[in-house]
Amino acid sequence: MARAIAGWAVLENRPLLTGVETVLIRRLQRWESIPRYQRLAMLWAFGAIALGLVTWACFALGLNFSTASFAFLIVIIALSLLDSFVSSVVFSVIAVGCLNYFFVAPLFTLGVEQGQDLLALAAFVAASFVITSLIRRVRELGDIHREQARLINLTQAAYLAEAQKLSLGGSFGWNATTGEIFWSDESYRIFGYDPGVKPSLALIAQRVHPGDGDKFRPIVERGAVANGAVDFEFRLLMPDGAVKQVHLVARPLSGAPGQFVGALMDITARQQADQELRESEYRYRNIFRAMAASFWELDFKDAGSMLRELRAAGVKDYAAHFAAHPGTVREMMRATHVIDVNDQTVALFGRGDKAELLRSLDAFWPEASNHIYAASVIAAVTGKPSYAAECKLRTIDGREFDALFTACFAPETVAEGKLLIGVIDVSERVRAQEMLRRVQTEFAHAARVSMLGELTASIAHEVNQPLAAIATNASAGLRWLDRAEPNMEEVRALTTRIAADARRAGDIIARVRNMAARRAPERAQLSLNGVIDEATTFLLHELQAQDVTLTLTLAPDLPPVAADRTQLQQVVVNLAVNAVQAMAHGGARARKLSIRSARDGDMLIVVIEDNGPGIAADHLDRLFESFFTTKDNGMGMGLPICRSIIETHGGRIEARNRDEGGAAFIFTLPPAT
Amino acid sequence: MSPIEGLCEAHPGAGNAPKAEGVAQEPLISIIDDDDSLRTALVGLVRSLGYRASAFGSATEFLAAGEPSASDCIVTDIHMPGLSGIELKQRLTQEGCAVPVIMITARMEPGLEERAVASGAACFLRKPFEVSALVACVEKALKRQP
Repeated sequence: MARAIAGWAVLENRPLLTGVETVLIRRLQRWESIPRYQRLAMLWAFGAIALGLVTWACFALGLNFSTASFAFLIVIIALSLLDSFVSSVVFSVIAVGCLNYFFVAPLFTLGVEQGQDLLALAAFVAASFVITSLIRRVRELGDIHREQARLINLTQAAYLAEAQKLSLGGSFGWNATTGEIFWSDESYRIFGYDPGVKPSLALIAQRVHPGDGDKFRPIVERGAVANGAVDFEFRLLMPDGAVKQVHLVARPLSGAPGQFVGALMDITARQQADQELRESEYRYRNIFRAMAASFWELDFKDAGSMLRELRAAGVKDYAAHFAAHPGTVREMMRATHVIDVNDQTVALFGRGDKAELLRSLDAFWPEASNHIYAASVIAAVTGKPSYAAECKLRTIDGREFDALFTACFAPETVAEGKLLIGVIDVSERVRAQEMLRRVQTEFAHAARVSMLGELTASIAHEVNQPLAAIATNASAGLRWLDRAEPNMEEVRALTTRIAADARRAGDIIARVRNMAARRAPERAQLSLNGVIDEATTFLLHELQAQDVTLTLTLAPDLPPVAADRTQLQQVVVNLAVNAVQAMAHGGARARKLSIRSARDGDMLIVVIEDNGPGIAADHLDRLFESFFTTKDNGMGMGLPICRSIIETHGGRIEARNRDEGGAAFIFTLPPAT
Repeated sequence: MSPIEGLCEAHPGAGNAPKAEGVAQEPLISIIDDDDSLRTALVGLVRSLGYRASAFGSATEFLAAGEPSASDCIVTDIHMPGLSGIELKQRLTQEGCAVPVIMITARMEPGLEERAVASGAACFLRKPFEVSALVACVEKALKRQP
């Protein structure tokens, strides 16, 4: 019947039951809690008695059929409220029998004389069945409602539990008078206890961090005494030594003195994140303010808008666009505003007044460095995390200096249209590098002159040949002219040869002069094989004088190298002369010098090999050290300069002994891009 | 027979070989130098002097051509691939070939002149030489011919 009452409430679309309904439901629930077989026996006994009493009372009172049937109908409704449909049907059938026997003529029989009595009995049966069916439907609705309510309760509890897990927050109840404590599952997890344990203040005290014990206890005591709301943070020291930071809020439960309800929040992670954020902010501020580097914070919003406009206009290749429209780059610079700088920036770029630096970026950017700004913008829009390059920058006074420019494109700041850039003054380093380059150039020149000194005999021989030819041809020409009949044909032929020999002598002198010239290196796209060929012209007579056979194995179709011709020739000549000299000290073996060029992966490689005595094992690692020499009159600068030249050209050089005897010097160079 | 065997055997028209009677032939000067331009120049000079000239890029080539028996005078470079000028002279002397050899060189190495003279060189000249000195050497060498 409780189900039926709840079912009525559902039918009326009422979420809550009235007070009477609630009382009824409670009592009927007590009835329904009796075991079924016992309840059924009681019901049948009660039903039999009720039907008997109604029959006797109606008969004794002499009530007619209609009144008696109404009384029976009430009894059947009451009985059907107490149990199942089947019982109600059985009671209806018994009631019809009683009505027929005691109230329908002929009395005391189950026969029916008049058709209208039969109709009345049928109407009673139908009415009782309809009523019991309705009651059954209402009971079913009550069942459904209760199941739904149960499921909703379960779901809400599950939602609450999950929500508490997600928020790392638990709930608790505390009866300060009885000491009874309730914890939600998440509260158990926060305190690190098994859900089967009965919560108590003692358990809490075990977990409270010793440093917060004094802080925790008075607040709890104050809460218990004054019944005031509490809101505080404290630490828990877990058995594994971990420390949890917990935020607790609680307030008295209204209408229940001495009882509190509250929430616990594990804020360890949040507090760590806050701490890290504070430290990060602190570090950032320290870096920004105190580091000995110039830092700038830029507002890039307007320049960003210009970029978006370009993209909307169909520009896809920013690099090509910037190259074709350098004015756009300057406009973007003007639209990039300096919003903050550190003290180092004021010292480096300004005149002591920070405010005068807070202007458009273009004031500090020479035209010559436009491409660096453009490249940094492209790096930012293509998702690069940072960009760095060396370029010229300009102080507020207009002085230009060499700077290492770095830009950081952190997504958080980029989203706000802000950029952080750093500038380091590298003028001293650039000057030092320039000085080093000059010294290296000077050394290379000195080494070339020294090398030419060693080749004096070969060079003299080279020059003497055409000079001797010229003198001879001239003398012969004079003789043909001095004849009684000058032979002009002979004279013409001789003069042509004189001119050719003079050119040859001039070429030789030009080669020597180039080699001896003191000038800054100039890179050009060169054929590596061509450089080797030219270098060997310095060597031919030296090789001949030393009885050295030269083999050139030059790979065809090598890509060009970007190099200084004279310096590369110097390397080849130096290595070849070393090889010839080594072989001269190496005994009577047939001397062979081999120069090979080839591709080696992405690089070009040149191998200069001899079949001399090789390199002593303890000299191998020191060959390229400055002032290390194995020659009596050597300076020890030839190989270090070769290494310097090759490395300046982006290659590497090494020496090793050949398995078959002799030494091999190998250097690599990158092909020109 | 090896090309260098019988270097100075009689050869019709040869300089130091008996000349064919009644046939007046200009002396033959053999030029040996690995430098093309100087070799050509020396040939031109010899021809301007009114002599015949033959030219070779190396001593080996000269010997292979059987020229020693025909030459009246040899003008040779000292440093050449293969046989040097001094080695050529030594070889000729060993073979009993008395043809005068004038040696020229562009090299400055010490002791070279002494070695050349010791080998029996008629003249030793350094490049670039005075042409008149070379002409004098050639004419002197030819006068010594029997």
